[in-house]
Formats: sequence, structure tokens, C-alpha cells
Amino acid sequence: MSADADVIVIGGGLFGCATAYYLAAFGLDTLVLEREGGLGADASGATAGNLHLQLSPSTYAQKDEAWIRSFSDTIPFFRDCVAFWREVVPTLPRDVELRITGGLMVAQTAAQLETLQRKTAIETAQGLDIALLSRAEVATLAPYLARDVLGAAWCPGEGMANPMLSVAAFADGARRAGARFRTGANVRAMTRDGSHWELDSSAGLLRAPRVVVAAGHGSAALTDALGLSLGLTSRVIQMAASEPCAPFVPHLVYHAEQRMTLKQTANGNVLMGGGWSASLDGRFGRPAALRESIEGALGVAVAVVPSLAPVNLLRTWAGYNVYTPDGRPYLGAVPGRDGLFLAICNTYGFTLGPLCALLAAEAVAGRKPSHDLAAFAPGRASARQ
Amino acid sequence: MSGESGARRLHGGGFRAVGNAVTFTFDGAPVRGLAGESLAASLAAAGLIRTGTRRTGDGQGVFCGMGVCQECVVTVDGRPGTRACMTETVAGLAVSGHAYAVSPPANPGVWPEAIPASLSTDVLVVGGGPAGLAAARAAALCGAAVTLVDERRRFGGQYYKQLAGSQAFADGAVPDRQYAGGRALIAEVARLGVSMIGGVTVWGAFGPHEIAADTPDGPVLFAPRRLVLATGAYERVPPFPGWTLPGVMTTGAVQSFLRRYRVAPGRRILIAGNGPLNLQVASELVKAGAAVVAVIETAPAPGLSHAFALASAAFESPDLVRDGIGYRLGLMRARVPVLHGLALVRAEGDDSVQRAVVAKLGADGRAVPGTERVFEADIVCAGYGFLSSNELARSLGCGHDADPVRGVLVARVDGDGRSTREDVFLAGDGAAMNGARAALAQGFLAGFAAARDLGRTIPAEIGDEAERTRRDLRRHLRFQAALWSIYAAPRPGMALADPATPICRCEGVTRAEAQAAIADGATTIGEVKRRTRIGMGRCQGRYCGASVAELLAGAAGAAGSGPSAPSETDVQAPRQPARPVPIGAIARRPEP
Repeated sequence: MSADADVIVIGGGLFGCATAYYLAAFGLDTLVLEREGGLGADASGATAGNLHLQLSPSTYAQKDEAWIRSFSDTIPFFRDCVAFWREVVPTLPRDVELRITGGLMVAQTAAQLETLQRKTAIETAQGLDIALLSRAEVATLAPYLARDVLGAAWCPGEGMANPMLSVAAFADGARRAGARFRTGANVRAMTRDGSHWELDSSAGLLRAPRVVVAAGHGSAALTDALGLSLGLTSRVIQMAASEPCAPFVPHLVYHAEQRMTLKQTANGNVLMGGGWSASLDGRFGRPAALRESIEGALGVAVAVVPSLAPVNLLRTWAGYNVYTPDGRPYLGAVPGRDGLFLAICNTYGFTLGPLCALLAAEAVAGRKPSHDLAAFAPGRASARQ
Repeated sequence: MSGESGARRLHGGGFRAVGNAVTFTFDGAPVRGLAGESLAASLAAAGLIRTGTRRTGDGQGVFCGMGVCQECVVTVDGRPGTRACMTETVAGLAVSGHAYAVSPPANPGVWPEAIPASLSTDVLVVGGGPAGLAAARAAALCGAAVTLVDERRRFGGQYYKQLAGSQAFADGAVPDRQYAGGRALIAEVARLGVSMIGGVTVWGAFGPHEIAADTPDGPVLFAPRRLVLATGAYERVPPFPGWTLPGVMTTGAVQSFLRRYRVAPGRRILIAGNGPLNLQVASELVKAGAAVVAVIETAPAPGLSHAFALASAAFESPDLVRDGIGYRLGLMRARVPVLHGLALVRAEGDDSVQRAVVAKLGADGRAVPGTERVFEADIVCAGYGFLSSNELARSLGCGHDADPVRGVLVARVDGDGRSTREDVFLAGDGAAMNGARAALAQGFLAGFAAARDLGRTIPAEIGDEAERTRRDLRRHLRFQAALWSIYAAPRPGMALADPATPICRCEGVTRAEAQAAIADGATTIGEVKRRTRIGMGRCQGRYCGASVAELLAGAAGAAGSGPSAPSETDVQAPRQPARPVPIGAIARRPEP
């Protein structure tokens, strides 16, 4: 039986589309499979599209100091990833509204200020350009913030892009380079048959010598079935968007303790996220927003940016976040599984996407990696804790 | 903004203005209005048809006139995105025209949280039109504690369209059947002790017993034991060149101006589309002294082939058929042409609409060359029937089925209106389009069943009324079927839209842009949306969803690439909020 492609990429989100973009550029015949919703339908369509460098409050609040210290050595990699965004965007066939705006993590209590001090010390030690601003400095830099903001960690290298357009841009670029896409192809099982992987999908049986699993939260079922214990977990989280406003929040804003990321898109909508829990809609199995989370997310938002109070909420939506045990992505070849590669990210996948996709594609193509992959290797011990 | 507007207030005809003359400002200039009418009515009467600016820079104004399209939004006393059609005129308001990107207010420093009041009730009825009023009445007659909410301050909904507080019936005047029927039913519901709360925006249905709303007294979380959704319908308008011009609006919007506020928004009104409402509104306008230049009906003139349907309609509801004949006679006497077998193919104008072009449609749904006729008009109404406002029901997971003939979703309910979701009843046009009489019957049966569910002892005469109502409902449904067959016309679709015609009104996404996204590989509504912003605006996809589905079906080469019938999972998933709602009305401090 002949192969349907040199490489099949399972998953048409940012990781899948960007991986296909590089694979096609390397001259490999690439086929991307996505489920019914179409490209970017899950996490890549639901994400806020933030480019993070700071350790986020969700990381900080939920983990102990030792975990944070060990995770903090990824900071240089995050910096490389944001730099790579700036490098790759001009090569894409369409605009993705990339902006490096700087990020502010605000504190409204003395305890939160202390948290920021400890946090910035760790980050500075890793070489991150981050500074603690006084109350007066914050008021000057960000006059839209609430009066009771006592200080903020200011990281000038952070920013944002439009995740929906980013998926489209990588997909368009991949198509132009010869990659093929098939939506409505839900992969149910995969088996190795001699020199090929055989995928049992809702679009029929598909074969290729190499397969990249880039299926976000759907990766767990596929890799579990192969007996890989990656320890992937996922959560459904939600986002909210205001009506379009004239520009008034020029930064990516977070909170030192509360779940909040807040920013204004190029279109003017204020996006409010931060990892508020959503639920699974029982009827369609789709993620759906929870009332308490909408109320809470908007509560933090107006407490930090009070001018939002009379502005209308336009939309909420929910999507999956996938987590690896050590917070680092799985990239590259799976040891002992010929032709099987992973491109799966922890949360922050948007920031890491393009560079991680390049690294995954390099591994598939047998090229020299442009970054040391040891910390992200699917077979690493730290992942199996 | 045009200074030559033909808008005016209508006087006499059995009505009198009773609202105080008040002054407010629009973009700094004083405007006179009547207390108790809507801001939209005050602005229209003052000739302000363009009240905002689109994403494209083009003008916008009232389109649906009933709170759905969100195109009449203005900033009122610093509150952006406020619907002029749902806001009462009050002296001293500072109103400014809408800009696509609104201006948030200056930083107030801090903002307090909004703590919703909790409100338990036996039966919550959402929607105060025929179905909702009838449901509230039946449940109350059975002894249930009932709360009835409506988005408008004034009950009656889009069918009864009750006079606003700015107007009253003149002494000795006899209100017509729709005014009188609505007034009597509203009065009876109030007399039965139903708690009636107007001005309520239900923004989230999170469960049958968890209904979040913004009310004039602040946020409320309703916790009903049974829920009746009677959310009505909104007008379906297919995209055509010029349909986003200020002054192009739905037939229902003009009817609201007339029946609620006694305002004619233009000097020369053209009404086009399909269905009996267009004739009725034209006739009402003429009777009130407004000028209707023509009524354009897509369906062919009733002929011999309709004899059976006409006879059947006349048998089931003779009074309604008599009304229809009366509308035609009135228009004939006023020499208003009623042109069958033609369609509105284009609206033209600079700042607002000035001309309407109508033509015969070919089999491909496009204008047949040589058949075009131009009418000067400063208001152009389009009405092509209705779509159910089913987003609350769908967000609760109530099952719906696709009706492939009319291209709509129809709620899956039993004879009592019981949905597939426990404790949720659906009644009236919000569940399926069957007209006001069926809605009254369905509302009654739903309210009756909801109260019976709660174990109320049903008075014998109410049980008898339920039996009669079941029989009546069957008759109303037969009438509706006959009416539909008389007005049968090709379902309007995308055929008239040029490449440059916006198909998403809110975000200004053109047909060409949507098609480019499909050519670039988008295969689902979601993908087209993510590439173009189509459906991401204030109306939340209510007016563009069918267009995108049709383009996708055409691209996929589906059989007969006409308008498609989206299945329940194809259409955009309903999302909270069901209507835009101020962030400050929802915001709560999270638990530390």
C-alpha cells in the first residue's frame, strides 16, 4: 500500500499548521488532519493570543517555590520564542496583528507587591528584562489602571498577536509550500505497520512513514492508546471580549494574584481571560462558559481597569488548555517509536508555537536542531514525575 | 446627516400625543422629543436617520427596531452601545452618535462590584408577547407564582406593539384589534398578580433554574422552578446591495415607529419582501397619512392555484382573511401599487437611502435584465418573514430540528411546549414560526403544563379552556399552513449580493471577503469567522449566519447551491451573553 504523504500532522491548530509550514518548506509532502470544526477550532481559536515572558500568576499561585525555580530556566527559551515570532511574521503570507506592547503585572495589596518582588528577582536572575514600577510610575505609564494599584512588574518585551489570523497565516503559508489539509478527519487510532503508521480516521484509512501528533488536548487519547505515559492533563477555560473600544489599554495587563490577563486587540475589543474555569456543554460536548467565571473574570477586570464598567460585554467562549507535568512542551521524536513525533505544548502554547513548530519540523526532517531540545524531549525523565 | 429628511410625526387618526415635549442633545445639538417614546423615535422624528458610523466608515441607523440588530446603538450619558430603540427619551440626556470603536469613559478610579439579587419564583416567563402573556395568564390562573419579564418596558411584544407612553388613544377612538387585544391581555395578567418586570435583558441562560438578567434595578439571578421561553422572532432579510444604508430597515421597524410612537420615518416609504406583514404595515401607514410608494411582493399574485389555500385560510380564520382583503382595498383606494412577482434588488443613496430598484427575479435568483424599475424612496423596508429567537433555548440545550423547506431551526417540543430539557417550556414564534394566534394557544398550554408540573390543583374551567385551546391550536396551525402556501416564494438567499455587498452587517465583511476565505481553504462557518470576523459583531451572527452557510454549501458543491438548511450543529453555537450587556452589571469580586 502506498503512503498518503511523507508526513501526516494530526491537528490543525497553531502547532499543526506551523509545523506543516516548516515541513513543507523542507520539501516534505505534508498532510494535516483536523476534526469537524476546521483549522484553529479548539485551543488555537480560543486562546487570548498573548506573548508571555513573565511567570504568570497561575503558575506562580498554584506551584511551590521549588517548582517555580526549576521552571524559571525556561525563561530564556520564552524570550527566544517571542524573538522568533518577530522573525517569522514578516515571512507569512498575511498579517497577524503582532505587537510588542510590554506587559504589566499589577499589585493591589502589599502582599501582592511582595510576590512581585520575589518573582522579578527570579526572572532577573534568568536574564529577563523586567522592572518593578512604583505607584507613581504605574500611574504615568498606565493611567487607565485603578487608583489602588500599588505597583507593577513591567516587562517591555511582551505583547500579543491575533491567534485566529496566526493559524490562517501558517496554514496559507503551508498550503503555498505544497502542504495539504483535510478537515473532518478525526483520528481514532494509529498503529505502526512495518515502515508506515496507519491512521484509522473518520476520513478513512491514511498511511505515512512519519506522523506528528500536534492535537492539543486531543493528544492525550492518541498517546495513551500507544502506551506512552506523558501525563497530559487538560482543563476547559474561558475568555470574554468587550465591544470594540478606541485604544485605551496599550499593554498586556495581568494581576499578581487574581486570574486575569487583559488587553486590547488591534480591532479594539478588550479581551479578558486568565484561566477561569469553564464547563463542558453536556449536549454537544463543547466547552461552554460558566456564569460564576464570567462574573469573576469581569469583576477582576473592572477592579483593575474601572473604565470598562459601562462598556458592553460582547462574547464569551471557552476552550481547552493542555498541561504537561513539568510545564514544558514535548517536542521531537518519541524514543523507540519509529516515525512518531510530538509537537504538544503546555499552556503558553501561543507564545511558544512558531519556534516549537520549527523544532518539531527539524526533528521530523532529520535536520540539525536550531535549539537544544533535551529539556523538551518526549523521553525526558522529568516529564514522568 | 441629511437636512431634507421626510420624517414626521403623525397626528390625529384616533391618537393624541400625551408625552411632555422634552429636549436632549445629539452630538451636542438640541433635539426635541416626547417623554415616553424611544430615543430612536425621537431621533427619527427629528430627521436623524443616520445615528452612527460603521467599521467601514459608512453610516448606520435603525434596522430591526426591536433590540436585535444593535445598529441603532448610541452613547447615552456616557454609556456606549445603548440601543436607541430600547431606551426611553428623557429630558436632558446627552446622546452621541455611535462609532465602531466606542469611547470608554475617563478612569473613575475604582468600580464597585455588582451583586445580583436572587429571585425565586414558581414560573419564570421570558418574553411579554402573545405567547408569554398567555403562559403567564394560564400559570397564574392555576395558582402558580409567576414572574413575567420583557426586554421592553412596555409589554405586548412585537405583535401587540402597544402605544408608548408618549401617545394615547383619542377620546372616543376605537383601538384596532391588535391594540385592544394586547391591552386586555396585559391588564388581565396584571390583575392575576403576575409580577411583571419590564426593561429586563436576559443575558445568560445557564440552566433551567439559573437565568441571569440585567434589570432597571440592577442585576438579577432568577431561580424559577419552571421556565417558559417565549422569546419571539426577528425578521429575516437577505443581503442585497445597499442594505446597510441608513433608511433601509425591516418592515417591523417601520411598524414600530408607526404603532408605538406615531412617527413616519420618511416621506416616501417603499415596502418590499414576502409575507402578509408587508401589506398590513403598508395599509396602516396609508391610513395614518404616510406615503407608501409601492409594496413589492416576491410571491406571485394569488390566482386560481391558491383557491384551495385561500378557502382553507378563510375557513380557519375568516377574520384574518377579511383583514387581508381590507389591507388590499385600502391600498388600492390610496393608489399604492402592490406589485407581485418582483423583488427589491438594490437600494441606492449617498448618506442614506434615496432610491430602491426592483426587478423580476430569474431562476438563478438574480434580476432579469430589462425588468428593473426605480422608485424614489427615503425609507426602504425589507421583510422576508421571520427567524425564531432561539438562542436562550439552544444555550440550554433544548433540542431543535432543521426545517429544510424554510431553512430554519424548529424547537423539538411536545403538545404542551415541553422541550427536551427538563423544566423548560418553549412557546410561540421563538420555538417555531406559526403566528400570533398559535402563539397565544401554545403559551396558554405551556403555562398550564408548567403549573400542573408544580402540583397545582387545576380549576375545572381552566382545564376546559386547555381542552378548547388544544383544538384551537390545531386550527391555527392549519391557517398558518394555508397562509404560507399563498405566500410561497423562493427562499431569499445570497443571489442578489454583489462581491462588495456586506454580508456581515456588524463587522462590514463583504461577500467577496467571505468567498476569499473559502477559496483560501476555510471549510466551516467557524473558520470563515476566524479569518474574516464575520459573525463576531454585536448582533452575534443573527443576520449573517445563513449567508455564510449558503456560501459554504455552494463552495462544497452541495446539491442546488441555493439557501441551505443549517442543522443544529452547523449554526453558530449560542454563546453568553445572549445580548451585549454592560461589564459593570456583571462584574463581581472573586472570592479571595
